[in-house]
Amino acid sequence: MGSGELALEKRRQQLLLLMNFDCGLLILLYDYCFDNVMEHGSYQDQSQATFSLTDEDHTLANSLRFTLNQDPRVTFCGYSIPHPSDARVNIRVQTTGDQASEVLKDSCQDLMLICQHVRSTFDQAVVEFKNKKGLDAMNIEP
Amino acid sequence: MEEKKTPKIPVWDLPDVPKGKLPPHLELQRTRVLCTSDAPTHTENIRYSGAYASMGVDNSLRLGHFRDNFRVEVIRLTEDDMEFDMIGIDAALANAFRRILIAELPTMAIEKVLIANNTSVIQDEVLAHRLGLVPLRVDPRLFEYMSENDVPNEKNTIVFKLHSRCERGSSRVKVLSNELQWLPRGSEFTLSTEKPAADPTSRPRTYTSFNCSQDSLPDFSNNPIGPKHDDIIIAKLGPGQEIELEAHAVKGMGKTHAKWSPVATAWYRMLPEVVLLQEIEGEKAEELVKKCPVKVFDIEDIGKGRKRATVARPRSCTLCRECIRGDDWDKHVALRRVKDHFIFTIESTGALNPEVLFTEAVKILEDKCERLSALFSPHLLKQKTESPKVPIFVTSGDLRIGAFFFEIRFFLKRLHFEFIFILVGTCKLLMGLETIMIDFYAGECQILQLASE
Ligand code: SF4
Repeated sequence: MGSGELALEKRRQQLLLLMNFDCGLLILLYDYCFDNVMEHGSYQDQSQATFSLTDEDHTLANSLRFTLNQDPRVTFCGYSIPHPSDARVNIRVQTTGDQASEVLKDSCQDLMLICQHVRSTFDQAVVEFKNKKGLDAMNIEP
Repeated sequence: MEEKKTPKIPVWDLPDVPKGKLPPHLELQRTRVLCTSDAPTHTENIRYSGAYASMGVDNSLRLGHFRDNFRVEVIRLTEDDMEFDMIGIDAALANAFRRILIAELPTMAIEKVLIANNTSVIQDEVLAHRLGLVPLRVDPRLFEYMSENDVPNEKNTIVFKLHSRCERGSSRVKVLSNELQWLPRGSEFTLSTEKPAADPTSRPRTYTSFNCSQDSLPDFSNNPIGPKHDDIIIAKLGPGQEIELEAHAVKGMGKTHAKWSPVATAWYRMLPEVVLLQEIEGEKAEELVKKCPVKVFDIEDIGKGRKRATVARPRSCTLCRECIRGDDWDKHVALRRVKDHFIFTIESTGALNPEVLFTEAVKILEDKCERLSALFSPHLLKQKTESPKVPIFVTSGDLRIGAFFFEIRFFLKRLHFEFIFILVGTCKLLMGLETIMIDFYAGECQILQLASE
């Protein structure tokens, strides 16, 4: 699940044309639908988009907000849960010019690296603690 | 004209303007929660990369910096619980780990109870609920989730039998969790639809379809599955009462029901910091030591019979704020919390050891990120940004429509469609058009809705 190929297969793109002939304004909005992510944005300006993730909550959204906020390319980011009984979270990303989805992806990867480091540090600390305890136990027993 | 000789110094070069370093008061607000007598202040985490740009301080994420500063110290580790310090991490992540531990780590718990007989005073549904909450000693990673259409098999179901009775004339008995007997071969109850078998050698169909006995699997052969604790009271039976049932445990997550939560609780607190702003000596020191209910302060002899208060055990401070109550004690003592130092406690219910639980929780967050970033993989991104030629076919229309599509083609250039086919209604319809909704399916395009007001 979640592989790029599968997402490609499942890709369903929607285009929303909002037209106003009077002032000659044409806004082209898009909705990209992947597995459980929908991206709402505008073609004229891809530096801002809202990502709507299903089956996610504060756990991922708040962690992502943490990494996104620390990215110098991000001018604004925030998330909201439109309704508590709806397993959905919207993450808004606005950047200084880079593509919003690219920035979000980088944040995901930063978060992944952080997690990996947390895990390895933690495992190491546990091993050290166990060794120390083992040594202590040996000192006491004989 | 002496004034003219004083050199002009730009305001930024004045010595009291800090450069590349936050002034102490901002640094304090950034790293500490101040617990004042009325309310805690500066509770927020300032994470915006440009928050301190005007002071020349880069607040962006530096992974190297994180790696150098992140530390874990294990304080206590037993089979059931652990306490450790996580230093140099943000509350967003500490909280994510806590949330995952409670709600998103799977375990096995009893989900279906087939009751053959229950004459006890406890109702069937209450009994089933109590059974569900019994923690099981089994590694959930060895099992699969059972979805709606799955048949219960040895990979997704654990079956227990409970048969207990209280003989007439004897005194009341307790039904304890150790009476739950593991059935590695699956259910023993035959399906009600099953006809009495003509051939007595063939096994009748039961509520589970196990292909093999679970105790033949290497993971369980020396490690039988059972409740974690033997002495949980499930029910009480009076003389002549009886319970006979079968309990089916499946894999699930705490967000579905708390019985699947692998932790009794998982929580963290930020490290308390108690600072004496002034020397506190003599009687005042004695008073301070007496004020604190958890004995954070000690008295130190500084010679010549003088006594001084010291902060001996800040970690045990509960931030009850007793020591800053009254008079102007808050001028003498400051209570703070360190924002990036978490004292994390995990109490496992027994399926997995607490240290394994935490590692698994971090892995789950990692998986979430991986799944999300895979969706933005390069070839998908390219499709959105490349500007290939987009031939548009318009089936009917006039100049006006042509001009309109010429305009949208400019935007469609950003899309990657080999071919776009547009069905257009009459031009009359288009003229009053305000919104056109076009739905694209990989390479084909169709006007879905023509909304004219
Ligand atoms: S806040 Fe309460 S526990 Fe902490 S040092 Fe003061 S009196 Fe003691």
